[in-house]
Amino acid sequence: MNYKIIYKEEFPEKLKIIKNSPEKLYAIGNINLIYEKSFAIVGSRKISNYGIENCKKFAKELVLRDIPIVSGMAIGTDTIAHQTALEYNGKTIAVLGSGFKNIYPESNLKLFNNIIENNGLIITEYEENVEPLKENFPKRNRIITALSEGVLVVEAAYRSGTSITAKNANEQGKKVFAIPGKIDNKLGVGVNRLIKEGAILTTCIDDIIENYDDFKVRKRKEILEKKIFIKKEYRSYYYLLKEKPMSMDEIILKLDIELSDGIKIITNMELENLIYQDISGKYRIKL
Amino acid sequence: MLSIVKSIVLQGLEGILVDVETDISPGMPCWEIVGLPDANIKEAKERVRTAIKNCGIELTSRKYIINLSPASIRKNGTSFDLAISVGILASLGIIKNNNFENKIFVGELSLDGTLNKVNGILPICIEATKNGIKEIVLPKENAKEASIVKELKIIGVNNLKEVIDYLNSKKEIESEKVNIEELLKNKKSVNLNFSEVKGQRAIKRALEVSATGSHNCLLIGSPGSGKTMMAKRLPGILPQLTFEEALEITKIYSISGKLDNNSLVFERPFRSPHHTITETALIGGGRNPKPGEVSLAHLGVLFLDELLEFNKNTLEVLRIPMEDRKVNISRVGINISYPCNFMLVASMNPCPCGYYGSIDKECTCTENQRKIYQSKLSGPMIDRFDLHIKVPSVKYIDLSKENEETSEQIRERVNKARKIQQQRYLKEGIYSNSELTPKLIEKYCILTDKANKILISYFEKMKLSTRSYLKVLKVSRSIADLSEKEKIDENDILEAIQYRSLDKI
Repeated sequence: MNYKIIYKEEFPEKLKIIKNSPEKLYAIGNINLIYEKSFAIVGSRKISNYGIENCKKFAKELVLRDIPIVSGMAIGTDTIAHQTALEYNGKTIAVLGSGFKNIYPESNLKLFNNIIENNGLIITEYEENVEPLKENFPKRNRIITALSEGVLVVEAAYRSGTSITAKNANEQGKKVFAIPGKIDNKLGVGVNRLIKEGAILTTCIDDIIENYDDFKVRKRKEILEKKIFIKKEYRSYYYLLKEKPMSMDEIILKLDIELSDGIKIITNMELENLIYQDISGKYRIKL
Repeated sequence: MLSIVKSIVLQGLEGILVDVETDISPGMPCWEIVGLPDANIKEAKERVRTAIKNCGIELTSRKYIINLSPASIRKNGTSFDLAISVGILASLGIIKNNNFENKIFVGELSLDGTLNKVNGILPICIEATKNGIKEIVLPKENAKEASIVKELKIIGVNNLKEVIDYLNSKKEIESEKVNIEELLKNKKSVNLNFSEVKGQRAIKRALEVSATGSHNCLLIGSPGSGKTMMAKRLPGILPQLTFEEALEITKIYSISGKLDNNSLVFERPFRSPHHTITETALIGGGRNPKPGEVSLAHLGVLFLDELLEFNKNTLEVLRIPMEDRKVNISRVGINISYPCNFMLVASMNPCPCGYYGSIDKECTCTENQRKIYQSKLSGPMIDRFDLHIKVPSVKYIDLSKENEETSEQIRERVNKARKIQQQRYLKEGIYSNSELTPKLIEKYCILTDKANKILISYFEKMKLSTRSYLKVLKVSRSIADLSEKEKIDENDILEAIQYRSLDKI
């Protein structure tokens, strides 16, 4: 693997001043990103649909303001944060808890390559042969927080690595933002506790950027909605599904058509890659 | 004096005539049954001796030798009781008529001389006629079942005394008769009806297609989406049984002793074994091999609810019987085969907790759990399914409206389409589209140009195996049959593609 080593002298100030600052970092990709003002999104590995939606929403808003997203490339929240950043052509930094020869989790190897190819950055304080040991992960969290201006916690259970990240952020004088969770949901307990302990309750992107002068002045990039030409006979279906994913029965009921016509058009649209059937049997628009 | 009386032993569905030879001679008093009898035949001597005594006939102390010939075949079951006692009584001269040439005797004796019913009467009668037998004497309780075989004179008797009187021409017994048309008409109406399933029109249509061509189908969905409910209603829309088919099913049920009304089975069987089932119970076996669930589902539906909860080995065992449409079971001294031409319907959840991807409820499984769960479904197993359908859950609000189609209405269409298939495949020796071989697919699945283009582009886009390609063709053949089209057009192909959701991942 072709990595570069960043020594302490080259570190940005924000990384030098922290307690236990690493001696050197191994990096692949766009090294300049570590000097930029970025923002971290963290959360539990297990994530609910609610968490997924929120994570996507905030990640999107941040990268549209050209703010790099820092996260840990674990499954769950981290993966979604990185993916969303890439999806909107944004910048992203992944901080690993293992060496470059032991990408963890293996299922994220594709994401790893995607980040590099899309001008993102991957860093780790561990030598290439270091295995993904349990104790590495809480440790790398201090680097995640050090690189970012603040941390957004999407979802967290009561005892989780996410709480450690929040603690690190606090120690480093970084602001912690948390999206409130349902009080009866396991994944809401951690974030709600953070809010109780003084994290900033976050419901929209303004809750974050209002706190940073630098972010406030940035202009939101208008995304060019992908203009796809949709055949006339597909249109009613397409706009219906755009509103909400639906099952075949719901579609034919809403559009008041025959089942056989519905099957024909929906299959055609699937074949033309406009929609797909999700695991629960509902049809969704492909992005 | 020596006497020879005929009976029959079943090996699977095949019957072998057995001569029960009895010899009574002076000498050391003893009873001996030879000719590879099983324990339950050896016990027959106590039943026979007591039953004869209780008919008021004194048995003298002699040497009784009973040989079951051919002596090299293992025999079991209690159905030899009657033949043995008739043999003894003939040897003793109590039964004077010695013409047993074209008769067989089957039945189990009680100590008081009453005849009890035995299993497997229908195959026994069918095999007996094949062997040139003209008359069968059997327990009264079995007479109704036997009477389906018209070529045979069926003498139903209540006890041993009646048998003696009948054979001595002291009593006339009419041959049992049955009107088969009447029987067929008398069948019960469907009790689990599709009209009870609200909504889910797309899934019902998919099941209609599978029923039409007897296609194996896999239902994937969250708990409560109605997978099991709909699968249970499948027999009600399957095409009507022909008389020959009913006979085949009845034979298997007769052997397993599962014939409850002692007559033909009119409905296609629906078997849904629990997921803790063993391999033997599934494909059949035991020391005296009995048909397993796959054979009990012959010409009907084998429903495996919660497919992935089944033991992996149990599932893999299914593969060969599904291909061959019969099971071969080998045990010491016997090698038998049962037919198992069934339609496999299975249901599964997308993950262990069942709610992965569901909008209404959160999935509580980890990524790893999900992977392990899904890996239980092996590639070759997926390949056995012609249709894979994702079943969305229905919200309560949708449930009330609309008048649902009844099973009878659906069945009418299915029946029509199946008749088309039966006629088309008259010369090929198959019954339905699911049995089409690649060669026959080429011959019978003719596409319009437009349909062909769609299929080819789908095939290339999804990088499909040839097997999937052939499955799409088979399913589209059934869809075309439902609308009585000779050529498969693009709508049929598109619909068939819709039912291949696991291809599209």
